[in-house]
Amino acid sequence: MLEVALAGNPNTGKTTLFNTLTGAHAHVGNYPGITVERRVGTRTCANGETWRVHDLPGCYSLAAHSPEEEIAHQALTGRLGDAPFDAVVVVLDATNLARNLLLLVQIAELDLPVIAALNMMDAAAAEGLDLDLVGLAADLGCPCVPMIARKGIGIPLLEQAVRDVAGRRQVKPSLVSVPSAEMRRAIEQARVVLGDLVDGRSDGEVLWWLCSDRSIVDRLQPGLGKRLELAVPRAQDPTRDVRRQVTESRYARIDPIVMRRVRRVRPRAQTPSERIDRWALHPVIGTGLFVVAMALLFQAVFLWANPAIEAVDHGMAWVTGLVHGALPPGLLSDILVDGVLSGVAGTLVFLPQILMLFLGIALLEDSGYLARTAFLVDRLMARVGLPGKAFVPLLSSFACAVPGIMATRTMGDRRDRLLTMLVAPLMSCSARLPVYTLVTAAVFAGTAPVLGFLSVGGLVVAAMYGLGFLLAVAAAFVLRRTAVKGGGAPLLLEMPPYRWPRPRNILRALKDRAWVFVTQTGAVIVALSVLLWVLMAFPRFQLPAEELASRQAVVAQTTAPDSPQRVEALRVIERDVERRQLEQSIAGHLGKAIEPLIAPLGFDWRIGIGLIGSFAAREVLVPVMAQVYGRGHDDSDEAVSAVGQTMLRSGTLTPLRGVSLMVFFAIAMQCLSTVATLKRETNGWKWPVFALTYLNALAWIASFVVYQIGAALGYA
Amino acid sequence: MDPVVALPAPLLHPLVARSGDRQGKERHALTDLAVGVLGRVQGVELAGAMGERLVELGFTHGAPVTVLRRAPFGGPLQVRLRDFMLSLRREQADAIRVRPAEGKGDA
Ligand SMILES: Nc1nc2c(ncn2[C@@H]2O[C@H](COP(=O)(O)OP(=O)(O)OP(=O)(O)O)[C@@H](O)[C@H]2O)c(=O)[nH]1
Repeated sequence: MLEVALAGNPNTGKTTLFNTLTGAHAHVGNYPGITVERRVGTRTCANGETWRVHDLPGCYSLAAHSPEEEIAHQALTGRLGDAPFDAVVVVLDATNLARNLLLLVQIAELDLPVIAALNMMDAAAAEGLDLDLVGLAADLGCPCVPMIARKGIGIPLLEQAVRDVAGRRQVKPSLVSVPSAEMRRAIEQARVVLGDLVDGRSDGEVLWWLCSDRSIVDRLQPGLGKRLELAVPRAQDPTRDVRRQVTESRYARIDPIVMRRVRRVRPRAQTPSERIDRWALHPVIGTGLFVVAMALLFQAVFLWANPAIEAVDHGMAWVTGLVHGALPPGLLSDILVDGVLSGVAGTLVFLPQILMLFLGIALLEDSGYLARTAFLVDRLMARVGLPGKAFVPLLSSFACAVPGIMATRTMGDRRDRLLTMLVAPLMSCSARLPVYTLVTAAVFAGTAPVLGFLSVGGLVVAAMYGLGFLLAVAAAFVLRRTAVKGGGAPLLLEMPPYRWPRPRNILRALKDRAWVFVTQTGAVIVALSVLLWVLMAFPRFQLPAEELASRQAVVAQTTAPDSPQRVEALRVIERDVERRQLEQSIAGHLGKAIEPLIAPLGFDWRIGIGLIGSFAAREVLVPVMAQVYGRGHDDSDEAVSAVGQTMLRSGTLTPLRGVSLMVFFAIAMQCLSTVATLKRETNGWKWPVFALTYLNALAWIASFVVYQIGAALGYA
Repeated sequence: MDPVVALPAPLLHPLVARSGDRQGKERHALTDLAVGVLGRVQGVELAGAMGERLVELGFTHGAPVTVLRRAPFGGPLQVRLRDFMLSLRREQADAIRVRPAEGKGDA
């Protein structure tokens, strides 16, 4: 088994090549302690030999400024516990060789057996570039394989090259840069500081530590970054810094080679991408196109996913019914149905939206348009303190924060990404709508429209959307200066040429996304859902036998057998049991216990139970409230409004309390699926707990202010 | 037959390139470069990781660069550097020194 790594700049066709090489035999995982995805697959070559193919994160340079680069380096230098690589295939974009070769040089300087896979030879030919491959191989000192990954061309040559390199082990490209006297000195000084870390390792390894970001070096070895900077201080004039010289000297080796070996057979003409950009990035037309594209994306997540969501609901209802019917009533059936299966349903129900969003994102990304959207909105987003790349994730969060948070993986900078994930739950998602409907239908239905046509309920709901958005901006402002300090990566992104998206790549990406969500996020959702069920189902409540018997006797006397009245009367008893079960459960006691805490917001213990129950998903507030009142419930609008009416009559709800409740729901993080997604995307419990704390505290304060001011003004 | 990437200026004629610098003449920021005009990078005057990153991306001495467009309202710039396009904010473009290249613009 040969260990083969794929490295390369983003957008060079690395993923395409990985998919071609491994077919269906690959899986996605996570690197330990970090949110970079790890993909490993196996390949059986034409001659029966097998490879384990490692897809390293795409990066422009190996010197670490981000977790991707850190991981790529750690993997290459064998620090992640993998077997050493027999060959490192560096995928290069043949149309843009110089910048791509920088990475190859850096990897070669680590004394690794590299192969230059010159991909996109078709695009190079179309641009009128002629590459002298024999000359390149001679200059670089490593095999050069021409490829067109998206057509699967070049694989046999690549197999041969890997075999050659792996057999010889030591292929040293002649390309390794020659350090200047100043660089030599810096290397020696750094070696002293680095000690064991680089003992017996190449100068390239020393340079990596020297040129990587101090914060990353410090994380790998506390205090080391600082000591390195003391040993090799940065120059006053940044253009004279030795760290720059390292890169400049690498380019000084690369540029002449590229000049010698790549010929332009036709003068440079305007590329198709440049022509498209004249429209796509036009201040008026481009902005219009952008709005249309984003509106379509939003529609897809918000509306077009609905039939599939309903199908999932029905499917799960059917499965639940089967399990319910097959098992004798009792604890086992309850835990399976109300705990596990409802968690499974609560996972699967997100899939349609996730797939829709990631289909949209894959199309945007593969076509090259995603980088353009960041260009178009960067200014606007910068004004509210968020990076341009946060636009799509935040927009999707108006449909649902779960796919929205997952979409932040298209953002490069780790801090920016974290910040976006933390404010995404503030976007009013569609699960809040039933809650808004519940309140507005109950308390504002009769109010006269403002200006004769604007319904008060509608205005209040619109205000909730505005509130969420404004708080997100404010939270970003504060978090940027406190919990998520630093970051704010300046918009610096490549604009790849426009290309036709590949269905195969997209399907593969969707499959991976769905699989990761169902297996990893889903597991957390199910666990939390079982926990919630336990809270609501224990201790068990049983109607005392005499009471049951006497009530059944009353029903038997007052209604005719098999009459609708009798069925209804028996349902009433059942609902009463459900109500009392809930009321004396842990959740019920909790709801009552938190009453002093939520009374200043205008909420009584019934809403307290509702708040706890709706942690499963915000819209669950409605059926939980129905259960608190011992009412039946279905999902129709009338039923929702009937629950609201009941709350109104009991005094639990008043217009002021209703608004306070809406404000609370607009802000609070009460969604275990979002918690689970945050856990998976940040790879730990720290940030989900942080988000829970700050969002719920914020919600409490906002509702408190609304209710107390309202009460002071004489509303109740 | 044009070379794809010209030799970095110092390799071609170090004295010419350096003397231009010393007089402080014809040193513009990338932001000032007119749209469509070919320029040559003179240096990235941005300290720390950001400056290093720009150099790694290919803003090395003598590299050819052209501004393709500017987003309205002080938004980012779209730039062709060497053989690829990228966008960057004005703050960074301000720190990149360029010299308009004599002769034909190739972008
Ligand atoms: N013309 C051409 N396009 C290609 C070739 N190989 C891949 N592509 C396209 O290049 C784009 C980028 O390919 P990916 O495989 O996603 O590249 P990647 O390096 O994995 O990029 P990241 O996922 O951003 O790291 C896709 O639109 C591919 O269809 C090729 O040989 N020729």
